[in-house]
Amino acid sequence: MTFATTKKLAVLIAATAILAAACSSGNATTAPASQAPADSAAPAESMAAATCSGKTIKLGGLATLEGPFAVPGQEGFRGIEQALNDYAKVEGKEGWWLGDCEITLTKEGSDATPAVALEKAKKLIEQDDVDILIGPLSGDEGLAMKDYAKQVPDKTFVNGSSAAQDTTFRDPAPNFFRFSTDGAQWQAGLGKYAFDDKGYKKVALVAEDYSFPYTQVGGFMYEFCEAGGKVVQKNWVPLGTKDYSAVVSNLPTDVDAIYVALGGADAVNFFTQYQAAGGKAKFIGGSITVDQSVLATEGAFADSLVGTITASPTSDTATEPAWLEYVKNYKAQFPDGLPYPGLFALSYYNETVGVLKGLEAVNGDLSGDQKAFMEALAKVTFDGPTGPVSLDSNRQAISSNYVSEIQKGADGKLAAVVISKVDNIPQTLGLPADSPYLAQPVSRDFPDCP
Amino acid sequence: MTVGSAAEAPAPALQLQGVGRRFGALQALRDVTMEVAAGERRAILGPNGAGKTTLFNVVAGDFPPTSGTIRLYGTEVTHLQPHRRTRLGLTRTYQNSQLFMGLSVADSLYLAGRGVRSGRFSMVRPRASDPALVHAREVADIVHLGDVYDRAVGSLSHGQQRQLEVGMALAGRPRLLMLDEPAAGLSRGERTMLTDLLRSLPRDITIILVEHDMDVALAAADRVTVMQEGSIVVEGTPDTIQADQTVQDIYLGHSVGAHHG
Amino acid sequence: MSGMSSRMSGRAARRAGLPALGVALLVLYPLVLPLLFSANQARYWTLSIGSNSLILGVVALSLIFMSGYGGMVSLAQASLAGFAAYIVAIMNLLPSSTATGATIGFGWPPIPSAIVALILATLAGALVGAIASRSSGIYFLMLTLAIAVGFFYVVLQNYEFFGGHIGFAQILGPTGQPRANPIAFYYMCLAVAVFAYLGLRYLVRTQLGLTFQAVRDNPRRMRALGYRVSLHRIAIFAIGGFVAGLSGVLGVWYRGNISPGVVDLSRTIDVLIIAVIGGLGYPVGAFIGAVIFVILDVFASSVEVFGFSFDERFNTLIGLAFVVIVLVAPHGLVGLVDRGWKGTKRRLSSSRAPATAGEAAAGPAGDATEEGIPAPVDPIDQRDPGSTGIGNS
Ligand SMILES: Nc1ncnc2c1ncn2[C@@H]1O[C@H](COP(=O)(O)OP(=O)(O)O)[C@@H](O)[C@H]1O
Ligand SMILES: [Mg+2]
Repeated sequence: MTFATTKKLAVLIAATAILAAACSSGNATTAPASQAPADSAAPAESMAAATCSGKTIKLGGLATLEGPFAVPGQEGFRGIEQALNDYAKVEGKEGWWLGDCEITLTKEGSDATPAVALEKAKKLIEQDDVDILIGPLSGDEGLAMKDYAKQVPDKTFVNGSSAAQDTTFRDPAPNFFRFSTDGAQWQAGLGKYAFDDKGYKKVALVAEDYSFPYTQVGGFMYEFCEAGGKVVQKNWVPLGTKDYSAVVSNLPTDVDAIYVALGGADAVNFFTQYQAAGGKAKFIGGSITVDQSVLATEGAFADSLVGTITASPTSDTATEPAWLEYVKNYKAQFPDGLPYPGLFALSYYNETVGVLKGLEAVNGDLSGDQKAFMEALAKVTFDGPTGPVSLDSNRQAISSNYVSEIQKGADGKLAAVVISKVDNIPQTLGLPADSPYLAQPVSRDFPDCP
Repeated sequence: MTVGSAAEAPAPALQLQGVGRRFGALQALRDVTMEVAAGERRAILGPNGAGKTTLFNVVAGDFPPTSGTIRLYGTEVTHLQPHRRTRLGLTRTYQNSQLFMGLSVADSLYLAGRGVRSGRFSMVRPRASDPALVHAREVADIVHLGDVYDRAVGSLSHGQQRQLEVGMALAGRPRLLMLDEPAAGLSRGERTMLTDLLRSLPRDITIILVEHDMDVALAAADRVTVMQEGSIVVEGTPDTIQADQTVQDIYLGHSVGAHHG
Repeated sequence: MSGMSSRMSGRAARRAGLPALGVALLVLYPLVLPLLFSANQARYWTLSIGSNSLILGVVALSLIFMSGYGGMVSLAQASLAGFAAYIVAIMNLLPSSTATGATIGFGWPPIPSAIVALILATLAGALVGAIASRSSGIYFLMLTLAIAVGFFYVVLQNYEFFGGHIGFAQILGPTGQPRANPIAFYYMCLAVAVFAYLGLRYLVRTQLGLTFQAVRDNPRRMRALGYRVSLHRIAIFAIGGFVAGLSGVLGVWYRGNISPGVVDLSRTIDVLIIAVIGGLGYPVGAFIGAVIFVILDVFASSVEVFGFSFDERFNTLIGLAFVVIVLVAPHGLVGLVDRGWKGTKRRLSSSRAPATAGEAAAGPAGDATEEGIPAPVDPIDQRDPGSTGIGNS
């Protein structure tokens, strides 16, 4: 028995892990200095006119900088910074301003687990004493954040891009606001389009097994099941699954399409293995299933994605002036960013714009346990890059969504081409309040229409 | 010294019947058949590599023999786990000290005494009057380690560590004590102390001793077994062994008195 | 052993004084904070820094105990803590109050839930021991690692018992919501940490504790003394499981929720890193390592070096800090201080009186103390040349 060797190995492993940790953020792009030149993007509207003075307004930003969502986390911070650059820049002054009040941003990164997200939120709220927390990025973190928000009623929590339904839909926290739409809203229009226009009657689904995909699947099925479609099989896989062979061989062949709610590498792995196994079905994609990061891999499966329909709150190919302006500013401010700002950037952007509008409405006055500010925040409406944004009585965004289809462009590259866009989508996707679809939280087993 | 009283004893302390042990191609023990009577002092002689330590390991249960049977006081133990044999009254020392370098002399002797009794998992600290502690102290004095009782084993001299080897084997209140070259590396004075100690042990302890030093071996032994290449060559009283021509040739001729570890 | 009763020298008294001072400081800590900080910050330092360090310290203590006294570096300790946390949740909650349709739940009060959790964590520790303690070296590490990773996937995918990806929320301890009464929560953590630390210190001088060290030093001799070594190895795992379980129980009360992220690989590595920073051979190092880990983790993102902010690269900074610690102090920070002190002392004493031959040969193990565990001698060096180790498992 050589346990002494074990001990040496343990130290070695710890050291290796440390090095790995040191490098894990190595591929992340450096955040642009918060003092991005003001003229690089004409502020959509300056808030310098607000009559705030003598205070510092402290914002905390929380996104994922480790683990599977490290790149989206970078996007999230870009969203916050772009909103500040676009709305809180003052000619000739460094930093961000509301009238004469400086706005500061303190950033913290989590690893997409609720435990770490909570620790970082506590650090921002309690130790750094931020007034307003913007974040987190992923679904389970958001659910945990709502519970924490209830314990800190005198601070304002504004979502990042987390999109689980029950963060706002059931048992909401009075001081938690979400200016981004949830995962179900991100699927608005898709179920109907699949049934009515594509003629898909029977689908099977493959999705990651956590709250965000539950919400996405829910949003799709609300419409699809309501229209009369059938979801005959559900395959839930752990986040980060690499081997889909069991799932692929289990998929029925007599379905019209396969609904896939997987993100990033999971989607690439699934599509590759499905195609290699000779699968021929059409796909319906979740909001992060056929985004730029997946299309750009140009894997062998690329051609099989043509005709895939998907829905999302952003579209690279949208042409509204507000969107084009937003994209232009993004590219100017973040030369090392993605080719197009994705839904993570947009979500954090809209949240931050909402915060700035709310601050403007109360002239930066956060006194009285922020009660006046929260009231004003709940009434904020604005025109975001993709359309009007307002909040419902649960402080959940009502906003726009796109249905798109993957097509091959003249340059041979795949792109999501907008089929339709709908504004002012509520969290219920237009279902009546007493609809059986809304009677239960979305989960692996609900809704159900086999 | 008289030849042992083996015949009167009800069961021999140790009975080996055709014991063999093979390591790959090497037959380290072959067909060893021997009997050690209760209370006897037996010396085992033989050149390096004769299989003496292997014999001890097989008897103690470090590994099973590849053939033959082993009986302790009449009980067959051929495939019994080593700790069970110890609890039957067999303790041993090692040619290369096997000590607890991180513990003190006191702790080592205490543990050695407790191994053969119940309460091995006790989570209560023993009081100073605990019989096991008292016993440990006594054994320490017997093996002349009283002065270094609280010292860490790693800080003892070589001679002291060899004494502790013997002490730990004694602390287990053995019926059969097997000593593998206990005098190896000891100074002349320490050897005398060891011989005196062995002489002073009561006759209800059976002793098997592997020893190169003929002075120690012959002074302590009732009977002597000589091994070579895994087999027993001769067995007899010290006198007959000293006179035996084969023994002279294979062993005594080379190394008597010359071997000091 | 008897040494303890007979050796109450001045040095021992001084050594007893140091921990007492430490505990006194820890008791005063939350009371002083409001004088230094705002109410919010005082709470943060009480809970997120103070209590959290104690909780992490206890699980690291279980690892250091097993490594120092048993010679086994188990990577399953964070999982055993997480297992206890899950059991607390399952015992404490009712199925109806869980969001994910878990079908098991008993609605017991916190303390009975914790007792069940500790019993099961102890048994689970023993089970891990029964599986892992037959192997050694890299295989031992791999086995305990496999158990840790396996447990993560079990809780991630099992909804009936463990609540799947979402886990359980709204679990309250006996002091209620920690934020509502941070000082009470902190003192509960402190009491448990002191209990675990002193308990282990007591244990290692008992019959059972001595067998652990003896098995570590020389399992073969232990067998020859009449001990069934595998059972003693399992016992040390069981105790390690119990101590890790203490940390898990406090942890779930601290967070109020439990999800697979609490038992994922990074938490396992965190515990290992804490133990290595503090010093694998020093029980008190568990807590020192935990404090340093927590402070680094919390403040790395606030550090600016020459105008370069680490906010998005805080892991780089943490990593660098750890690499430096491991390089400068291969025996951990406590080891660095301890060895530095002993080195000075040895130099002083040798200049006064020549060391005896025995002491000269002793090396560091000669200073077997209550604080530092002497490094186990690599058993390879003492293997009997006549033994293959067959049947030695
Ligand atoms: N574990 C083992 N594996 C292989 N060969 C061994 C082992 N133990 C002993 N031997 C060999 O068996 C023979 C007898 O060795 P040993 O019993 O140590 O002799 P002695 O104690 O009489 O000097 C030697 O050749 C030795 O190399
Ligand atoms: Mg030998």
